[in-house]
Amino acid sequence: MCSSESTARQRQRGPFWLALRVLVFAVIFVGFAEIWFRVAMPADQAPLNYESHPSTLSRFDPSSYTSGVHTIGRLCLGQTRWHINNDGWNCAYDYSVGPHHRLVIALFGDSYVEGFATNTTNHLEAYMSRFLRPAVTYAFGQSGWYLEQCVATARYVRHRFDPDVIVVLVGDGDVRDSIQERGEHSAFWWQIATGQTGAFVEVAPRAQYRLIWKARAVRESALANYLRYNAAVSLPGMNSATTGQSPSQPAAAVNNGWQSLLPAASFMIRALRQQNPRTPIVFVANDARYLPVRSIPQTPLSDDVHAVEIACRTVHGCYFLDTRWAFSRDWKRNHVRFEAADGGHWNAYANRLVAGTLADFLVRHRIVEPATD
Amino acid sequence: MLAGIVVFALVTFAWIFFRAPSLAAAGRFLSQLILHPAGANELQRFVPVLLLSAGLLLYEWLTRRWEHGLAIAAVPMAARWLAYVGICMAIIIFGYLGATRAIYVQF
Repeated sequence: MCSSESTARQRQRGPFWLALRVLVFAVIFVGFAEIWFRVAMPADQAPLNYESHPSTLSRFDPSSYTSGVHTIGRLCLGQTRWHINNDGWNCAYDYSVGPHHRLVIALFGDSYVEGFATNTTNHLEAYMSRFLRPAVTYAFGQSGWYLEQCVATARYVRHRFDPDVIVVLVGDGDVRDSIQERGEHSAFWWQIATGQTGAFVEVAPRAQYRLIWKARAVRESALANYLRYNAAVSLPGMNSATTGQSPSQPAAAVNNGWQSLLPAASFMIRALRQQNPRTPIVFVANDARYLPVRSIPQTPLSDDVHAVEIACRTVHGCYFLDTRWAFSRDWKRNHVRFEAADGGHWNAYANRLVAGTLADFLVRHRIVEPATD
Repeated sequence: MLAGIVVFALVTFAWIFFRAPSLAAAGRFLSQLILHPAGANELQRFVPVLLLSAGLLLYEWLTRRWEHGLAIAAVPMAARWLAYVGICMAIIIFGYLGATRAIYVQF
């Protein structure tokens, strides 16, 4: 029998062989894709979220994946390495619990503090720990966090680590997104709302975060990670978000100026003060980066940040650092951009600049002693 | 080839009206096309797309006498399947995987 007759006879065998060929091809393709997205184009690997009790605090699970790579976009660019420490935060070093013999600085914030955009050795807290040695900085942040979530997390941090200094990174939306009337961003996070007496009250999360089995299963597949995190495809039964929780309801697009945000900012800062009566609290503005230096005095901060600045003035032991000066002067002098590969978050250079500026601020205001070599 | 280029240009021109949210927007687009034919200062971000498009057009030209672009039954199976894997990977990496509206929907 010649080969053409054999081939023709094979093609006439029908759907079973077609299905078998499709199945074999699928196995080969998935195998190739798994190797490709682990070696040639490493897919984004996200740590697993988990919620601890009774703190209702969302962070990363230190008992599961503790290291991995973070890449951006369809071409898997801007590769950085992350590491989840013993307390569930993306940091190069572990945190010591309980009484400590050196000064502890607790740093709170959102994705800028969470730090997936840079390697852990180039994080804000890593630079601060180097610049203020022997003082150590512990970072507590997750993507999407706003001010009230930081306030709630600070209760856990006070109980567990008893920090000597508190630093909170604030940016656009941090006060506005904290207010429940303006939209619920996550059922798992704290917010504030207007109570029956007209005063603000803290509102606990209304749902408990539970990791679904699909998330754990999908995490093992490089192809699934690529589709979910790099290509942002919604896999069946799962959202396409990365580490941050996606908003359950978009915030109302209302902007009545910083004055309308001042009561909420004051409430949260006073709550933070009540939790930490003797601890210096420093708010660091995450605002514009490339303003001409001479225009900074005439350029207002964003409404949320400005409301925090004004509220700070009324609370004893509360400080405010405007980083626009540091960014603008450095840009004028060195012309080195501050963005990571994602085009938004701070890169290692910017982290170092902010850490250095903050370290100088803390020393100048005698909050922290100068570093010892 | 010239006929192909002319047809491509005419169809692309017609798609301006299919894709624009309104006739006024289409008119603004056309005026910018005449006044700034090379675009503003963002031409470099289209270079990867242009290179990929040029590659695909070249492949189309080289296989112009085939029944279709994947008429590779005579090629050994291993090479064929490698080509299929490559095409699937290209779809995953470069394809639009989200919800999309047909270009004619808003016309």
